[in-house]
Amino acid sequence: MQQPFEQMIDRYGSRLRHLALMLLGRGDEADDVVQDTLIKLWHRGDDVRRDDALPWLLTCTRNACLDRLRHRQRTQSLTLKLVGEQSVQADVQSTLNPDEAIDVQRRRGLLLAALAEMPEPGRSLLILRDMQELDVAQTAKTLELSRTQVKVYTFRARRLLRKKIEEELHEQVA
Amino acid sequence: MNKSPDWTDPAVLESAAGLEDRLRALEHPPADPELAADWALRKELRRLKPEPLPAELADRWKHMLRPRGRGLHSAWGFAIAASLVLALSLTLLMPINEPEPDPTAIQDFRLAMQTVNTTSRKALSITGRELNEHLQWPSIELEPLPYSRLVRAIAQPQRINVETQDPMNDLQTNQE
Repeated sequence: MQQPFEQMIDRYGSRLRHLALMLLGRGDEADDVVQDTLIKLWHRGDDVRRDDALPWLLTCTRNACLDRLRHRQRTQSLTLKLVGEQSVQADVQSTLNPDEAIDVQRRRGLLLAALAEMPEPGRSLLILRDMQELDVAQTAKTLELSRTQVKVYTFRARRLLRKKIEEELHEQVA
Repeated sequence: MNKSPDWTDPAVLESAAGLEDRLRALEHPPADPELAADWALRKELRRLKPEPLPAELADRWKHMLRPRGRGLHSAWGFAIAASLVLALSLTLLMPINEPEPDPTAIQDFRLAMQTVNTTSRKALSITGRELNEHLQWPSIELEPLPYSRLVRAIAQPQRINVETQDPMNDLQTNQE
C-alpha cells in the first residue's frame, strides 16, 4: 500500500490541508488533523476503494475539524490568524498599488471572518464547491447529501455569505 | 428588498439548483444584479483555492508512515513465529501412533533373551570350573564371619578328585 498511499498524499494532500485550514483557521492544527486522517487511511488499507478515497478523506478531515471546533472557544479573530499566517493563497496582483492591495487584504479578511461564522453544511459546501471546485458527485458523497441538495444548499450558502459581508461593510461604514 | 424565497417550495428548489448550474456555466456576470453579485462572490472564493502542499510537509507525512510499513513486516514475522510455535506444540502434544507390537515377535524376543541368559550362565559356570583347576585361591578365614559356610561355598567352589569323585582339600591336586 505504500506507493499508492504516497500518491494519495501528493494528489489530495493540498485539498485536505486547505479544508482543515479553512475550518480551523490555524495551520498547526490543520496539519495535525490531516496527519491523523492519513494515519486512519493507512490503517484502513484496502478497505477504502480508490474511487472513494477523496470523499472518504474529506469526510474524515471535516469531521475531525468540527470535533475540534466544538471543543474550542473562539477567542481570537479568525481573520487575523489566517491573514497573519499567509497560508491562504494571496491573489494580489503585482499591478495593484499599495492602497488597492490593502483593500484586497481587508476584503479577504472580511470574507474569511464571515465564512467562519457560517453554519454547516453551507460553509463546507462553499469551501469544497467554490474554493476547491470539487464536483457535485464527490461533494454529495463527502457531505452525505443528494446532488440537488448540494446545488441548492450551495446557492443558499453563497447568498447568506454575501449578506453577512454586506452587513459587516455597512457596519464599518456607519 | 426582495422577499426571501420559500425554500420549501419544490419549484423554488428546482429553480435554485438551476440557477446554481447557470452561475457555474457563465463566463461573464449575468444581467440580474443579485445573480451578478453571487457570480462575483463565487469568483472571489475561487481565488482562495488550495495551495500546493509544501514539499517538506509531504515528505514528513510520507516518512511518518514508513516505519508503520515495517510494522506490517513485523506482523508477518509474528504470524510466522506464531505458526511455528503452534506446529511445535501440536507435534509435542499429539499422541504418537506407534504400531502395536506383534505378540509372536514378543514371545520370540523373550525366548531369545532367556536363551542368551541361560547360555551365558552355563558359559560362566564352565569357565569358572576350568579356571579353578589352575588358580590357587587365597586362604580366607571365613569361620569368624557370619554365614561363613555359605560365603565359602560361593567364594571357593568345591574341587572334585576325578578318580574318587571326592572333594579335594586346598593342598591336593589331581596330578598326585
